[in-house]
Amino acid sequence: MLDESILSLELPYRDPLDVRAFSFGIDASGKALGEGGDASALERSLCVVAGIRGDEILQTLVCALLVERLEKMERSRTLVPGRLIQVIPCANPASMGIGRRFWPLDKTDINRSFPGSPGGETTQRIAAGLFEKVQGFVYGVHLSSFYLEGDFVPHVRVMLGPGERGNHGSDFCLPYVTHYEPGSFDTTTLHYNWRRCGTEAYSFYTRKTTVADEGIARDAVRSLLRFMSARGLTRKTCQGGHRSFELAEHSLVPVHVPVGGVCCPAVRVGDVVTKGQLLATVRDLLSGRVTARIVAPCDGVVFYHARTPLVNEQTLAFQIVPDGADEVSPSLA
Amino acid sequence: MRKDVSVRELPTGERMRIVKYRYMPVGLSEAEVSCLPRACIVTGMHGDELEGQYVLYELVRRLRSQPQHLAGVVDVYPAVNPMGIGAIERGIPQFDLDMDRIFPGSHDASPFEAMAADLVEDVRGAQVAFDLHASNIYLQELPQIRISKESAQRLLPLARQANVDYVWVHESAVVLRGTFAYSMNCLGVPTLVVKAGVGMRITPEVGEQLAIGILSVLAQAGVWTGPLPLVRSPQVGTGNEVSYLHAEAAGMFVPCVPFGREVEQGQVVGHIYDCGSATVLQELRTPVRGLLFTLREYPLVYPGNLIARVLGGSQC
Ligand SMILES: [Zn+2]
Repeated sequence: MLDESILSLELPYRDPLDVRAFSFGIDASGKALGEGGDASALERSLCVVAGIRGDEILQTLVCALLVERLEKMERSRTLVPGRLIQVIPCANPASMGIGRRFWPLDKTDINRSFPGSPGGETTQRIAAGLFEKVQGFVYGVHLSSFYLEGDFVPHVRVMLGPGERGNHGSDFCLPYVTHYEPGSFDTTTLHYNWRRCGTEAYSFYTRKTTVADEGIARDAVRSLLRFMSARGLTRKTCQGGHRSFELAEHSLVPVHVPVGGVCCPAVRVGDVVTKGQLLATVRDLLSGRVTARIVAPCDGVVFYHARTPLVNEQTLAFQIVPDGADEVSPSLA
Repeated sequence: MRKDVSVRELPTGERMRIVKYRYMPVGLSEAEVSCLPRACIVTGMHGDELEGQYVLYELVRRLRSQPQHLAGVVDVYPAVNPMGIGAIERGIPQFDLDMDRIFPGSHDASPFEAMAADLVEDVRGAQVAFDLHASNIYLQELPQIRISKESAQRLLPLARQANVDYVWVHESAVVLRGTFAYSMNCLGVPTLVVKAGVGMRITPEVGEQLAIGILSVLAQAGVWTGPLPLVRSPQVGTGNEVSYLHAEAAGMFVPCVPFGREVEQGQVVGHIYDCGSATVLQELRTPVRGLLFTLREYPLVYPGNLIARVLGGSQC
């Protein structure tokens, strides 16, 4: 294992920003990177990035446990020689260290700053520095979180273009692989810019974000190991997993709250529901009176559930994968 | 006349509203004005930008004092991100995305995206629209209008009338497709984005300057027939003639030149200090001669933060 600083930046009245990357691999002569193996001779196979936002704690934990695991695999020679795997558990320690989701000074989102610019604003510089180090990989996985707060059935998102059209999302063996068309605000994400530069990119969504749940994190690590095994990066198979269902994101059925209030859910993500089944009750925050009963609009599986207990009128409370949703072909053409 | 354009209920029962005030020719009914030209002035998209508030005050004061000169309808939307204004937040509280990146909005996602869609629907059909922004809290800006190359032909004649100092015709970045102005321009409403002053402040001169500019554009759109003071003719450029000055150190920036004036090449703009050790970490000099139209307002800087922009100078 190589443990290096890939980016550093002076911060006012704080220690400098120091972004660390852990690299694993075995060179042609059988030497591991941790034993002086030659990293430059390896194919840049997989890069896993987390913690671009400071509250993506679970995502960082997944990477940390992955680092622990890959270090053992490097030692036991269960990595396929000639392949470089790089893990960046926390790309934004300056925010995570003080419990902020976005950049401390101007609240910019580094995941809306790619590809960045080396002579530009602070977050542009960070994005540019980061992007330089994560470029040129065959596969890229960004452990990310959604712009709406909530819990998900674990899945990977695959962007339809630009650039690289490859899709092996089902190799993560997660319940779902979703395909989506990038909106204008997606063009500055790491995912988009990876794809634009020829890396087969995935956004990986764990069930939760701001918690340190080792059980969820270990499941995610196993999913990443399944992908590595299927893509020929490791020699070890990883048992279990799902046969992924691939669907277009627009076929998810949104369920909105009709009134503001306190929302008491009756189901959890992953639950199978039938049309008309109670999903949640909305009560008036002050009188306790039930103001709305939210029921499933169709048979299906609860894919997303808003985490906030208090809801506004029209808050997206659930997304359902409807039974009979079209399974799309993995090809992104 | 005050009207709710979009309303959504909060968990506490309070209603989050985008309101507008309508000004129309005296003696005419709502139905009678529907065929008259209409102008829409939107502000408060970023909750910590307040310069637009005083622009509206100065504008509406003039409209109300000479109602006989109104030949069309003026709709003003003083707070399209009301919760952000109340919380002194640029964005929408409880929401990750910049409001000016979610247009034209959608009814499939959050209430905020739905309110954006309601706003677009309300402004649609106007002869002209303004989206008034201050600068953020970090930079001070001379009044300027930013338009994209594609819309320049249509917008430039209006922008020249708007009494600003600079009209910046930029290459359109893909991300700007999410802006209110982009959506409205696509729907055929010529929409000007004005940026002026600084965040969290009201600069009275800015309010007066832009109120006059808007009146002059309203006159061009046939909405206003009253007397107009002369408007200044702005410099127009593609950004090629703009030079940037960035911080390369982390510390406190203190300017030493007046803002909004001509500067010489190599003139000292200010310093970045480490105050505890009384050390000058960086002396910042203008790269070119020209108009200092952007200047750092917030003292704390990280490496990379913009300190100044200078317009029009050639490197001699
Ligand atoms: Zn703004």
